[in-house]
Amino acid sequence: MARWLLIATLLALPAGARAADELVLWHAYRAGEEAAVVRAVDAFRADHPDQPVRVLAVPYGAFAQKLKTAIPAGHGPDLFIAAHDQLGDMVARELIDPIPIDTAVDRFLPETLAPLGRADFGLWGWPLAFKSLVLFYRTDLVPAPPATTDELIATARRLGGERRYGFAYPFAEFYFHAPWYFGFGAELLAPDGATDRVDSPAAAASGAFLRRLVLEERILPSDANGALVTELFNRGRAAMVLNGPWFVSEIAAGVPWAVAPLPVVSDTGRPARPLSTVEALFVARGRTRPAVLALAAALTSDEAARWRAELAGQPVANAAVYEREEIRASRTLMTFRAQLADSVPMPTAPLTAMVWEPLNEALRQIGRGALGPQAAFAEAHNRIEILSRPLPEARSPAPYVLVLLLLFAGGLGWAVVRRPPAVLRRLVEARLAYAFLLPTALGMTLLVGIPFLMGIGIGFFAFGPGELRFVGLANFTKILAAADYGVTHPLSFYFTLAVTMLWTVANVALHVAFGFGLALLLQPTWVRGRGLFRVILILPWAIPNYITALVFKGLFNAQLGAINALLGKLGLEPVGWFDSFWPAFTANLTTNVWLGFPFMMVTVLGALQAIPEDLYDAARVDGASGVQRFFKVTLPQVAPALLPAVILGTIWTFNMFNIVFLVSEGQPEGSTDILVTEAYRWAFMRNGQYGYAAAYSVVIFVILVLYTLFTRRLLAGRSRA
Amino acid sequence: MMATIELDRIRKSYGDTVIVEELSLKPDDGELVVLVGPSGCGKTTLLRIIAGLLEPTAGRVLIDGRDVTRLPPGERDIAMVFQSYALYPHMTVGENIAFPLRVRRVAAAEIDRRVGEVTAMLGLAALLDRRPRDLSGGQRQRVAMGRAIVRQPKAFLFDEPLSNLDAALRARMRGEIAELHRRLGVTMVYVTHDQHEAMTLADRLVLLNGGRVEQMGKPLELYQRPATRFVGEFIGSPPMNFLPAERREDALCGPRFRIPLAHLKLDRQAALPERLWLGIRPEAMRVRGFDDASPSIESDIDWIERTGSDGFLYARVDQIPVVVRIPAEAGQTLGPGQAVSLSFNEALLFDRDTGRAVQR
Amino acid sequence: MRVPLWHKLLVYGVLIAASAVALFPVYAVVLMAVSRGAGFSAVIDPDWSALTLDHLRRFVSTTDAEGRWLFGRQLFNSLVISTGTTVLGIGLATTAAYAFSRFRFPGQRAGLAGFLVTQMFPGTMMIVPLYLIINALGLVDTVLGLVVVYSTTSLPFCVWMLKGYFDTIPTDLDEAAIIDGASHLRVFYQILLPLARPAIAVTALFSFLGAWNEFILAATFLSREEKFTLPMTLYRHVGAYGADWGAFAAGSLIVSIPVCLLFFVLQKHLVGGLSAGAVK
Repeated sequence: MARWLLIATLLALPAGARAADELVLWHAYRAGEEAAVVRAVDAFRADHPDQPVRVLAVPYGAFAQKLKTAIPAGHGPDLFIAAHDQLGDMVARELIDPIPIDTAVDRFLPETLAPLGRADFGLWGWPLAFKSLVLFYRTDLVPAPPATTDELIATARRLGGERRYGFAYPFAEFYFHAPWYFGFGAELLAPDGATDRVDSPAAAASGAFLRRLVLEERILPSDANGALVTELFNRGRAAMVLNGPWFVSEIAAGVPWAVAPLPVVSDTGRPARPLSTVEALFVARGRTRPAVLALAAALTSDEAARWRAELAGQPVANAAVYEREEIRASRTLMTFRAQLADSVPMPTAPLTAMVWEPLNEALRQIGRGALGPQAAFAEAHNRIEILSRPLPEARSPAPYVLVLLLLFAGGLGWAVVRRPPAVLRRLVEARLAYAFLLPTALGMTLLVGIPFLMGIGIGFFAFGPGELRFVGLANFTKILAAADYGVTHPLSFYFTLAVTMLWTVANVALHVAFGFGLALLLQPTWVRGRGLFRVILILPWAIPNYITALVFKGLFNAQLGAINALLGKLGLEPVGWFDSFWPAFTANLTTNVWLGFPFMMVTVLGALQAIPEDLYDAARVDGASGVQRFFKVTLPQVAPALLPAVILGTIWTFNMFNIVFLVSEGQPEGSTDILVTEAYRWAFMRNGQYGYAAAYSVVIFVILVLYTLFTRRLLAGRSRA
Repeated sequence: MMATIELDRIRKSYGDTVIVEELSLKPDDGELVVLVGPSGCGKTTLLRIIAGLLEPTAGRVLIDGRDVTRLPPGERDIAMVFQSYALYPHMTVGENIAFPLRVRRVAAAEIDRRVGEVTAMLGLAALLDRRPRDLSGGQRQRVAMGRAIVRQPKAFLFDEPLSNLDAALRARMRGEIAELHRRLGVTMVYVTHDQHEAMTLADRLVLLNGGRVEQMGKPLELYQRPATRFVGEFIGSPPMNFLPAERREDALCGPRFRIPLAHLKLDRQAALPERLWLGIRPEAMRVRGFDDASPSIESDIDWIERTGSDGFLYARVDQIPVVVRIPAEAGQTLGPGQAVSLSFNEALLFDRDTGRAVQR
Repeated sequence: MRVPLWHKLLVYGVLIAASAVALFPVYAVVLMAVSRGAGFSAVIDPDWSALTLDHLRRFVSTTDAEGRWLFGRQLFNSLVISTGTTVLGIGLATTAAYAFSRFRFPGQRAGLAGFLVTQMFPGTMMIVPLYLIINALGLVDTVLGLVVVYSTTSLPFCVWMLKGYFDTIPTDLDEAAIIDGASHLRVFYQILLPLARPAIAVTALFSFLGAWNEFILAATFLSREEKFTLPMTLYRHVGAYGADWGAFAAGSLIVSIPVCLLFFVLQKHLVGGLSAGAVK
């Protein structure tokens, strides 16, 4: 016992190890940008040898979540670097302090200060760098960059060909479409927050332009993502790409390239205006103190900015840097500097989080030719309205509390009435069992039970920017009524439920079929190398499914994917895997079947080993054919072992988030989304509607509980028979 | 080291289902008590109550006069041999036998000595390092006994220890258990459903039926003077024949017989009930000769079975089957379908309403 | 019995084809990891002349801001956390499964069903509540905190598996040991645990795997680079704008190797352990 206590203490020891005066800086940079931050911190350390500083590079995928959880709990950093588009949310959640107004801020480019401004005056943070799109082109293919979109199209047409493209960018991401959108004069949100600007003639015109690029001129690859664009550019298969400053480090050595400001939109005569984001240094709430400000000063100094420009090649916010000789000589940095003047700052209103998903969908539909530009943007507007609808009205929690209390009292009364002495005696008799269960029960209650109850509780609340209100069953009724869409619409709860069930049934059936089939093949003793085959076939289970999902997403890529390449070799038409429901669903299914069959195979293998050979001999003597032996001997013998595996598999598949979220990403139109991914979108991609997401989760939970009750009866029926 | 086991008004029930009705039992010191009965009679439940694996609903278990009803099995100082042998599959023979001593923290040298003794006694010395799965049924059985003996317990409990062995081995192991009992002289409680095993082993036989004791006593007592029809039927092989009979003035009348009461050598004729079972053991029956003056029972032969040393004649008395033991060579002229007249030397009478034997 | 040749060929054909399909994504990851041109096109269009170990070397030789060798520390952390999770998880799961298998007590059915039920609530909704609880326990940013969280999340599966397996072990063995004077605790660790080894191997593998690959909770709970786990370093290569796929593939490869080894070592147990428990 004492030994265990000692080990526990050792494991827990670093908890209190944070020095009181240590400064903590968090960021999600990597490569050159990280190096620049480290260099600036090192310089600060040299000047302040007595001041410990800790820099933490957090994986980007977890950064926002980590800030949101750690800062309110008091485990956050003093300073952190984040993009300004998070600002609205961060202010609403009270994650940051404004910076002192006496900080000298006129050394920063004014365009980088504007997005950080507060309503009254003063700033929320110090700008460090900015990012926006410009035009990258290969100088070996494009001698002079196009100045207008007409020139761009003409050049691109000239350079396109078999598996070659004149121009490339991930057009289905609004961030990349934004230059045209604003260049055609469209607006994202009205000053009063109205969303109807999305459904405007200017927006439709930008959509028509996209349609022209993809469907009419055919100069854009149809299924482009960031990785594909990089690949095409590096291999000389794309002459021009829209990209940001991060792209510089992705260009392969030896590729001749240059950047140019975005062309003028020929139709309107206005420049294409990309969205710009400012990366800024923020002070976490309640952390403002002299040492923190000193570190901030060091990180935002002109010298630190120069390192950032030099080490990372990133456009920085300090005006003085652009006066330097070597920076002036960098055409890349000067181009970004110039583009900043013709850019639209990323809006920070919390509402903005709702517009990306619908807009991306609109662009995808235009690019696929599924909807006309006008209709697509009208549909996007419609969706934004639905996603950003006002929170349900606050209700009084009193009746709910009352019902809970009554239920509790009723339960207690029932327990009392139901022969308490017997129960009490049995409790005492079973004290040994409880002793064995105690550690597990404690752990489960604390770390699974309580979060679970909290999760259910959250379903009765609605979360707005900076507010939380009790809404009773409103979330549930909204989900179940499916009032926003028709029942058959891909975004309605019932459609998603149907897809989820199809997904689950198809997966489990195929897992069992493949698992069973392969196990049967591995069974006979004459098969040589059974051990080796078994190891190879278990392999898919051993590989993290996140990695599998990304690999399969690459394999299914329309342009570069190995699967379409294979189809091409067989003389078949390439398939746009994520353009329509069935191919996209098939892609998800394939990935998950690959991932999941080993579990079933291993289960069946074990069960097969337990079947006595006598049974087969008896069946043979009785003259049963191979097929009959399978159905009369093998299947009934394996079924009891398989059934629990099927139940577990069903539950896991029902909630298999990674595959759907990473492979099809719900495309097209969110139709391949299953309930968990939908819940996730509500929680993390639609402005943190946790209440609604939790309600979704509760619905998922109830469905699964019903399913298990059903199978329990099935199991009970079996064992009786 | 000998000990008495006493059961004092033991009852066991689950809800409304009674497994053992109030039951008391006090064998003598060093006796081999066999609990026998058909399956579901409560014999195993009783054994488990003695072992402490089950708690009785009411009543007391006393070992050496001490009330151990609430004592855990490990503290009762009794050993048990299971039907499945319950050998620990992951331990060698030596480890299996040493396990009870290890649990009691006996010194290593002492363990070695005692395990050595026991294995030598049971002829297991060569198998010490084998695992149970590598042993034959008989060897496993011996290891299980070794594990019980090594503890030198106050008493042994056996739960159908021979039922997983083939007939020849069973006979041999039965002999070994009897020999063991003789050598150790310790109280043993032995559960079986096999009346033959029970008869050959027991110092004292307890026949259970439906949670009640039908009869308790020396094996021969139960054989010769069964207290109930059930005992007569259970003890002895083939079982006793039962013919329904009615008492008339001076005779017992059945479907195809009429037996004068005088022939039955009864002491108190007046006490006879109206309706009776006439119980006759196969070995007390015979085919009636022509010169035989005894009362006859008319029957039709079904078939005749010969085992070499014996012969059995299966017949029907007005649809009621009877078995007659005949000498191996006898009855060569008889065959199926023939009518035959039977007679008997000795018969028992049971009250047809209560099943109890009629006092003579 | 003689097996016809065509039958044999068919079986081998299917097995080889299935193995190829199973191996293809693995091959893809390996190719990406050793190709100079980072990205998925390396898979269909491999440039055999440009193979490199740079990505692998870079992943293994990652250093932190102060120049300390991070990979070694993080590998160590991952091992400590995964092993800790496995040990604690098995400790908890075996005792609980023993209680469920060998005792009858009020709340037994409800408890067992409760384990399954927790699997049905989407995990993403639990992160914030979990953080709050771990914070209240003072275990944020500690190895113990993660170990405790991981082992409880893997418990339901482990308890179900082990309970099923324990049920197949005859209770005669327990009773024999108890009559021999063993306590329940001794029956548990000297009789049941050694006999349940295959099932324990499976559940251990499961807990280990879960902890080894987990990333979101680790990234949320840990705030010191020297305490990070390997998957966190792996996901550092996926940034806000684009990712270093070569390094990511190299990292995935390195992260997967110990798991594959473990599977290889335990695969015999795996076959018996998974199903034997489920049969009952």
